[in-house]
Amino acid sequence: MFNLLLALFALYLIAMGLRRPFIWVLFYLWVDILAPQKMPFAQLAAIPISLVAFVLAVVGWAMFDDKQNVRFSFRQVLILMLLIYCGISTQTADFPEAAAGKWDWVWKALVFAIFLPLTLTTRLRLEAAALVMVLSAGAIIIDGGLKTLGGGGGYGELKLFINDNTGLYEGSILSCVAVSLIPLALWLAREGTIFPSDKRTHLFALGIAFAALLIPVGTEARTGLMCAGLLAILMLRSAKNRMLYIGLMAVAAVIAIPFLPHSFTARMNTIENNKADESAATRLAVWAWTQGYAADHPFGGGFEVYRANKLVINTQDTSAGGGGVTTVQSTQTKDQGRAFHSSYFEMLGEQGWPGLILWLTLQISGILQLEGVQRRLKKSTDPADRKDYGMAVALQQGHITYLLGAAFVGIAFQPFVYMLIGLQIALVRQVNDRRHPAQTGTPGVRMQAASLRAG
Amino acid sequence: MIDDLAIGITHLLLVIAIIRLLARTDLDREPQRKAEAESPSSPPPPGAPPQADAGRNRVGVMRLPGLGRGNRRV
Repeated sequence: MFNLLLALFALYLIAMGLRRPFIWVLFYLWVDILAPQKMPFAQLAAIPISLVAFVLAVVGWAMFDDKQNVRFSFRQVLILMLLIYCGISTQTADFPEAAAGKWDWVWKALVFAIFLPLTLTTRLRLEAAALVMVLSAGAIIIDGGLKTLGGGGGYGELKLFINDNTGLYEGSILSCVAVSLIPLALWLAREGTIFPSDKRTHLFALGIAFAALLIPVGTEARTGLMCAGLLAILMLRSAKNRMLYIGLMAVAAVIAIPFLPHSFTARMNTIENNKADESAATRLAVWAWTQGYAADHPFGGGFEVYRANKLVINTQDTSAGGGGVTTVQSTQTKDQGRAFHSSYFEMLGEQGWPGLILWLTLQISGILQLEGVQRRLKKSTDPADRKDYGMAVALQQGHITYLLGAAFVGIAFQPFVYMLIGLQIALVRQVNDRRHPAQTGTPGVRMQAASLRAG
Repeated sequence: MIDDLAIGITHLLLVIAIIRLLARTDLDREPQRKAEAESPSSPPPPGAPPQADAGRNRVGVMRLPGLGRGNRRV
């Protein structure tokens, strides 16, 4: 049933794009997040819908959009450099076939990240892109949240629209992305104009936030719990009444803990006792291997180079016996070809030190630019500035949360974060243009020096 | 069933959002702020009729210090 709905919705978006080509940009965001073509029995499976959406978005922009103020920002240049670097490393990869497979979707995510800010030229477009991101991911999040409430969760057990570990449908990735989206969903409920702020929008946004917090429970992904913890701290910074916020968080935690499934609390306890957990020990072993690999191959081994690793994993299980005797049981297992389980080590192993530095610069510069925007708009009473300020806060909180999750999951090239980056670049540019109107209106393509100032 | 519900709710909202977007005039171009739009220093849009009596209008908004003070209620 829902496959038919999705096919009709795709046709609807294509048709509406004929009236306003920007709708095709939203169409691509929807396809890339929800992946309707991958769903079982999907009518859209026979069509390369992702490619169709990509071509429509670019052609629509190139032919019909106003390009008077088109400028490349510093961060778009960074993404371009990363794209070129990854292209070169794919040619010299240790595992050429596997690397080519990853390159197939990475280049598209990076090119779209460069392209997206060029299309987000108005506040409404920025809001529309954020709304489509939240609602598209929201479909998966609501699905997972409701199934978790119904008792359908468990480590590797939560069944979503697509039962494979690709894109947002992998448990840890979904947990991280779902929690990262909460600030944006709340911002849309507070400041949105497509669905103006009222009780219904607030209720829906709170529902999405609640479902997002249920995803780490349903997937039993420890990454999600840590992301939720960090987000709670980050939101404390922007809370109007901090004491009330702390009180509410404490009450929510006290109420929620007894309802959490035993398997969830048992798995979360392994965060503390990670020496006994093979999954955590494997991560440490892979990270140690990656450091050694990068020392020998400072320019990286190309995509999927983790396939070369051969690991010896040591775990230690400590149990207290009678009479104050503690028994320590050490186990040693051998493994190979284990994934990086960390975006930072993924970048280091695959793209070497230059790739890691480029990637980190791209991420950190975004956080600094958003901080700059917040400082400049903090005291403004203009409603439009308040809206920009709120979005800067939401995007920054989401990005920092994502970067914490990225420490434990290999999501360095996950398209979702590049969409967040696209929104950030567009927001910073719009704020700069409004603050320095003299710089706008210059035809042609030029570097956006203003975006550097915001950092 | 849950799948249908999740897709149904979110996509109904997406359809409404697209309908509302299509009806908005500020999707493709940022609306001019009132102050900017009414600013006398802003250049006239291309094709606008020449303002023959602009100078006289400007005199009309000039104020001399203390002018009109006598009419003010205390």
